[in-house]
Amino acid sequence: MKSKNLKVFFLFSAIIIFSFHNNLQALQKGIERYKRKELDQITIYEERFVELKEFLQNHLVVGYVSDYDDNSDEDGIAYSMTQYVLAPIILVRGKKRNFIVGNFHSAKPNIKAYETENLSLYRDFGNGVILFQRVGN
Amino acid sequence: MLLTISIVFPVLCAYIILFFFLPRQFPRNHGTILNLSFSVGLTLGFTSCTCFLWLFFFGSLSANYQVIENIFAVILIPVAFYTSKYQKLDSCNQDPGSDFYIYLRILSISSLIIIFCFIFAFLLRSAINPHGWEDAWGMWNLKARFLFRSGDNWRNTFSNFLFWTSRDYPLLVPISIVRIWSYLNNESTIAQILVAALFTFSTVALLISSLSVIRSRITGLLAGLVLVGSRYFLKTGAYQIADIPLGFYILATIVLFSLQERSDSKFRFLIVAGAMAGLAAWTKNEGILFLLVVFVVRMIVISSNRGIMAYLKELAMFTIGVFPILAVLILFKLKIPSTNELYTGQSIDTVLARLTDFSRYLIIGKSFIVFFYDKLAKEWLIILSIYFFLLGKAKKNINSESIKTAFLIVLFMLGGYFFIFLITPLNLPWHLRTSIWRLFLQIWPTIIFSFFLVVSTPEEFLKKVHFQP
Repeated sequence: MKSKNLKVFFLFSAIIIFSFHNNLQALQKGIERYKRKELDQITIYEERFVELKEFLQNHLVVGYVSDYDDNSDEDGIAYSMTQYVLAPIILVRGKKRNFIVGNFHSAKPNIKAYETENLSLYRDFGNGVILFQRVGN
Repeated sequence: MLLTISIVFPVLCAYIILFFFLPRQFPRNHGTILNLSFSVGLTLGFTSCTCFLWLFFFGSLSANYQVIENIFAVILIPVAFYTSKYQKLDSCNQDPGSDFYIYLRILSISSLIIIFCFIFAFLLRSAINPHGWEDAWGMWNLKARFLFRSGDNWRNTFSNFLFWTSRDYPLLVPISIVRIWSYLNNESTIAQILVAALFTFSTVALLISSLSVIRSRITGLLAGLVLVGSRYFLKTGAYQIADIPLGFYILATIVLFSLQERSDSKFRFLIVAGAMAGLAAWTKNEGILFLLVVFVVRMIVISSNRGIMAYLKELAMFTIGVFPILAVLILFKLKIPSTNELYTGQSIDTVLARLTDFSRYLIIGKSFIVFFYDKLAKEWLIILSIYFFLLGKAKKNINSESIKTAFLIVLFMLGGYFFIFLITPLNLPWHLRTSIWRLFLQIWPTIIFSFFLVVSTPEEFLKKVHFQP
């Protein structure tokens, strides 16, 4: 009987210890991140795009360009986040719309390359957020 | 106050309705938690269906919807009371002998501390990332924003331009968020955190309380510790994606099959099981696979045990529960035009080519094993194997049908996932890397439930069992 009790005690201890260990680890990580007071990416994007969103509120579909193209994962995430904060405005990748949203790494991006492709700077909202307008064809 | 009206009130109504509708014979403590877990799932599920129907037929959600929803919830209470039934359940719940109370006490206190850590860690994660993870703001919460912000133009959510948002995925999660926003009249992130928290915590509560009713309180607590101690479970819950809600509905369906096995009012449990399976299908496309698997598995299990007529009777009751939700799902699939990335551009030739490419079988098989062992369940597979080895299989097993059902469902679901990976037109390593952990998490609570259904309880092992009369 004693050995059976010991086995049960061992199993209880193992389950409790592993469960406690995993949860404590998760809790510690959470506390560390919370203490660092890092803003999540979406909140940063919401702040970056707040003025543009206000400006585009009567538009249904606009274009989207960015300089994140060198990394497809990063580019995809940047595009999804921009779409998330600007919804219900639909963002379509490319330069075929009248208005095109530019999402750039740098606060002062080089926009010359876009201007050679029939896009003109309509307004610079700062923080790498630029609205282009399509000119001509 | 508005948050209370949007969630607490309908959950309370669902609780009362279930209290009357299901036979009232569960042990009081566990029964309350069990009913409450079911109520949370049914409330979020049914209200998302009614919200979708309102959007579909009347346009944007207005105050009228909220009034009608609450009146409807209250009307259902006397209906459930009228049909209520008090019946005895053949409980397998074991009363631990007095010698065993010390174990129970240690386990209860440890569980409380661990669950507190779990809840606190979940809330911290949610506070740090209130919009969830990539798939949440790239799909589920994005759809919620489109539906809420577009007003009468809510169909723009399914615009061809948004092809990358898995437009054909059912809407339980996004609409649950939209519904709360419509009550609050703003887009507070509390709504999406609340929906994620309700499903995550209800899954834990459902696992603990169901096993406490069916096996023993100690078994329920041990299973709960395994689930909350699974690293990916906490993380995925706070990610605000639909895999934890789907896992909840899969577990709830299987728990209800187990409960009906020991009840005289089998049909009532089957109706609710049907509703839960239907809601699984309304959560994600994998839920549709689950629904099909349930029909097939129950046909195999019931026909082989009790004959085809018994299966047909069960099927009829199960279908009563499934039908209303399936009707909403069919309406959504037929009337909201969208395509699925897994089927787009597929032809018989390309599918056959992939099916006959044996390197794909190896890649998928290896990923399944590596992920399941290395990431999801490493320590638990070791501990649970020792658990089974030391305590052995339960001798007195009145759950044979539900054990077979649970194992076959897990097996068929894994087979279904394997097949989807085989034929996927997406880059296979990328598809595996980005989705396999979520697919396994959908069935992980059910795997834990099935394991503790099969293995001896510590009480049985120590032979100090006093079965409740």
